[in-house]
Amino acid sequence: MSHSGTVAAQPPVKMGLAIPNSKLCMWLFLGTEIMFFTAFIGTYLVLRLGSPGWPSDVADTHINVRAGGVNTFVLIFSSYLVVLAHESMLKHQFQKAWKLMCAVLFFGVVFLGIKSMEYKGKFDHDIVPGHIAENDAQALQKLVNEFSKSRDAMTNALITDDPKSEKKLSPAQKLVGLPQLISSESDTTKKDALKALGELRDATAQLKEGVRKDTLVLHTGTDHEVNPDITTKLEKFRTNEHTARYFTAHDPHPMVYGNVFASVYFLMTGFHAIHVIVGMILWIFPILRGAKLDASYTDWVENSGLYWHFVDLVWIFLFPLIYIVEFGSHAV
Amino acid sequence: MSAVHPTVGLSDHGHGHAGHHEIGFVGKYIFSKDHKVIGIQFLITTLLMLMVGGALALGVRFQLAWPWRAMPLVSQLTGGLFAAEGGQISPEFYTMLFTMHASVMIFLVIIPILAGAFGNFLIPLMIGADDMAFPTLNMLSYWFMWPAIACFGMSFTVNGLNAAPANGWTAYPVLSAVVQAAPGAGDAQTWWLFGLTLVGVSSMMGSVNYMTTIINMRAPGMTLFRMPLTIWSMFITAILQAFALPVLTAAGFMLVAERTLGFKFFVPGNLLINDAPATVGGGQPLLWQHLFWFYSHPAVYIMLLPAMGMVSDMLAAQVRKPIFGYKPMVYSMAAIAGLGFIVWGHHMFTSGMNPALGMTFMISTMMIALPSAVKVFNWIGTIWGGKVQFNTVTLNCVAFVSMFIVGGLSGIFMAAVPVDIYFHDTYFIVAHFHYVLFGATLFGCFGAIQFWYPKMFGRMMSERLGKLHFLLSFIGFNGTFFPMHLLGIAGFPRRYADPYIHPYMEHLMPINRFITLCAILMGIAQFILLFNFAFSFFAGKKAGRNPWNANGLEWSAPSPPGHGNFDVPPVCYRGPYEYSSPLSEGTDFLMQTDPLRHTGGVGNAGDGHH
Amino acid sequence: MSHEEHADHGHLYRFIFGLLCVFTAVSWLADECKEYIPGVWLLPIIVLGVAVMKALCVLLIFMHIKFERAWKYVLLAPTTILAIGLPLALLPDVGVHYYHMDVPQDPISDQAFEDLEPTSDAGHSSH
Repeated sequence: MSHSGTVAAQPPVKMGLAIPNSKLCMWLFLGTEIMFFTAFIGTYLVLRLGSPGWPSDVADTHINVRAGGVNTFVLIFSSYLVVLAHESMLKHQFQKAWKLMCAVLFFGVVFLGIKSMEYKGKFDHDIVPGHIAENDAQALQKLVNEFSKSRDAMTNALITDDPKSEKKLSPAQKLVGLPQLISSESDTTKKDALKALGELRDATAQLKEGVRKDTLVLHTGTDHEVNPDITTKLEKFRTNEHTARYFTAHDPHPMVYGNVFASVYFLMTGFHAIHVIVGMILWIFPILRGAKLDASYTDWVENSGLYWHFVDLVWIFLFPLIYIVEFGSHAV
Repeated sequence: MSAVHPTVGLSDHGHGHAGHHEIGFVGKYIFSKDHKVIGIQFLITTLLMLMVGGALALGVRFQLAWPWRAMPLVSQLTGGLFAAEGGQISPEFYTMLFTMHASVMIFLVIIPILAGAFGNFLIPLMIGADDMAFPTLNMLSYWFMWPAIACFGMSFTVNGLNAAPANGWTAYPVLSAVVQAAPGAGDAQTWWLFGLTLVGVSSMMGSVNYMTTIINMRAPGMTLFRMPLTIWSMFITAILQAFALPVLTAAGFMLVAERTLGFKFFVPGNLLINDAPATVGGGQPLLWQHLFWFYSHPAVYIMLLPAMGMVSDMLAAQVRKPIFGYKPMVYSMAAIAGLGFIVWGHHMFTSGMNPALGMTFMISTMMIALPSAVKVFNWIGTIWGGKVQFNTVTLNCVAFVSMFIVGGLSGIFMAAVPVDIYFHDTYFIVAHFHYVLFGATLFGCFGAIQFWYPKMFGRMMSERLGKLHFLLSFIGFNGTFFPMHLLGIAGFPRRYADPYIHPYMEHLMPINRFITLCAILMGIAQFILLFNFAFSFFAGKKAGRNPWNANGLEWSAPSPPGHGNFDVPPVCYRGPYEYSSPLSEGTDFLMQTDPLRHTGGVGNAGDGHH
Repeated sequence: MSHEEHADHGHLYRFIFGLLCVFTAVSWLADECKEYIPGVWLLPIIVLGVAVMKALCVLLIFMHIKFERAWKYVLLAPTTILAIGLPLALLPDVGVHYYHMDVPQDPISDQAFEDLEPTSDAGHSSH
């Protein structure tokens, strides 16, 4: 009994599930995505619960609950629009679906816009992983470094290299003859700028000396305020018209576990934002069909919709976890 | 289902040089979307990587047998590869050798040869589909392998030839997270992590594709419990990959961010390594171990289950008996997969993990022995009283079962916390996982290559060369890995470039020399396989559609199958294990496509043997 | 979901959307009056409970899980178990810190200041 090629044609029987392959694949892929974010959320929980003194005060973290809340609403509303778009596709109202998808794309942009404003707030306060001082010593060291960096930037901008010299001078070498340079300068604006540079240089040297000799303290008084010496210096160079352009020092703000906090914050919101972008790319394909959008895109819209809802779903958990929840400072 | 291909017959020309002209050479053999070509691409790639990984292992073995001696021939040929004096292996280079050996073998050989090569080739053929559900995705999953290989290659060379990743394939922080920690922990480790991520992306694309295909693309009549065990094992493997891999990918992203962007997840506070700056509030190194093993323990079953499935199919065909206990086989595979998700902590008994977790993981690990034993007894029950065909396939399958028993039993030792505390990081564990990964999985793969080669290329592989390869591999394998149990019990540690600096280990050097000689024998034996593979492609005996008189749907397709696989869309009438059935007249097998005697499902499968 | 069924879901979707807005307002409100919420665990329980409710709404209605056939259980059961199980298994190791904050800072930090003098050759790099 060998194989015969004469098997009678059978009526086609569909094995498996009564859903398209693409939808099944999307659901399976979403299963993997759930595990992907589970790893991040698990990491967050372990690091947060295991780090006594985790920064949760808004003054430390600059977490913006309103922005997060508005973004939650934006995503929920876009999800609702996605559902309507899919309904319209099923009812063959393709132009309505097209408009709805454009609106979804627009709200995706709004979400990313609000997100980037939040990120900008973080960057302005230098809440960036690896940048955050975690105790007073580190905060002062960081302050000195930032002062030096501003001073060097200003030095390089104001004092150019000697054109005859082949060798590039370091900022410190350029500063050597600063008093003579000031006295010989005729342009008054430049003269003032050089004077301001001299002040910045002196302030930097003072701070450095204070740190080295361990005489500089970050906090004074019983109410734990920042040393007025430091705040005046910061205020002075921030408001001075000549130094403001170059001055990049941040308020010293030590935060225990600040780096871990910033790491998980950027990790989770960053990967979520990447998923939003991927979702928006998925919407661009049917939108580009324009007036030619037809029923062949129904499955595409449904699957992209599933993905979009999933992105919404992740945000629904990230919002309370990152923006709201507090476990107290000494939770287990 | 595509139309019948007019020229496809029983000849071997489908993959020869005659080629069809409607798709160009590149489209047909390089960027092919045909699952069979992709499977063969995976197979050849992984066999080449097997030789690379083997060469790295021989470097490790040489150092342990003749420490600090310059490797004959190799050191002259490679010149600058060994920075230490006189071409000897430096301690750093030794750590890189074993790190990259494991990385290559696990990520570029074992996982892709099972899921990539055999999964791709067999799934559509065995379920009667014309191709995968998403051919383009399938093609991408192969072509993500090469960037991964390139990344692993970069990790060898980016910091100079002496600075590959050097912290083991597990990449535990802090060694892997702090750039200053090891010579290879600079950019090389980052490249390694990129390679890992790319392998993950490749596996991910493969796994969702396999699941969709198996669920939705089966031929009419191919109910779930008429699927061959190979398909069940591939399906369960795909599930494991889909749910475990994202966790490793996430952890990999975290580690890359920690290494390159200043993020903090794993490095504890106030830790000083060389001149790296210290932080105050730090991360938790154990977190990586948890996330890593959450993937990598299920990955152990990803590296084993497909071989189990393939061996079940091959054994049944070679002993001319229905597989003993089909449904228990399926359920035990599912149980292994389910339990496989909750045992990862047994890799961490000595890591300082919470003891309560240690106890939990010990119990769940012990429980995995039950479904594994079910499978072993079922294989033995299948062989029992069968008409055993004495050929290369049978030999490799029997080797699979017996080596799996040894490897499985030594695993139970280490499942127990108190025993593991003694055995942890000794050669006992090295012996254990090589018995499972090489002894079981690779022997299963050798058998599978021999068994499905006629379907791939239309020609049989040489039996004589196959038996020679098996014999030398089997002797070399046992000579290499069995003495490692003894080394482990004697306390010989893994990952030491020179354990003999401890006087109590000096007397173990003769055993190590014996092991190395056996390893060299085993390495040489693999050239026989490569030669057989290439030689049979041109000179092998021509195979008909069904050279093994087996039942699966793939044997009703031409050898090699043309584009679209089947002349006629196949219909499945029964389970795949109807061997020696009284219903078959004159033969001892009943193909799944045979409509003449309608025997129903697998329920009848057990009736046939006398 | 067959094609006849989908016509009537407009009201349901609108209702669910409203519900989601209300839930968002509740969690925002909980954040606003968090000083008045007693204990450490009540606030997380409230907001995470609300999040679970919202997730169920999206999953069941927007993602059509309510209308799908039995395959949804096969898909979602293992996912849910693993997604909950992984964080739970991580929790016993919470707080395992080998190095504590009272360990003194390293001596290298002092050296970092040595080359910051403006008059010397200050080729330093901050951070």
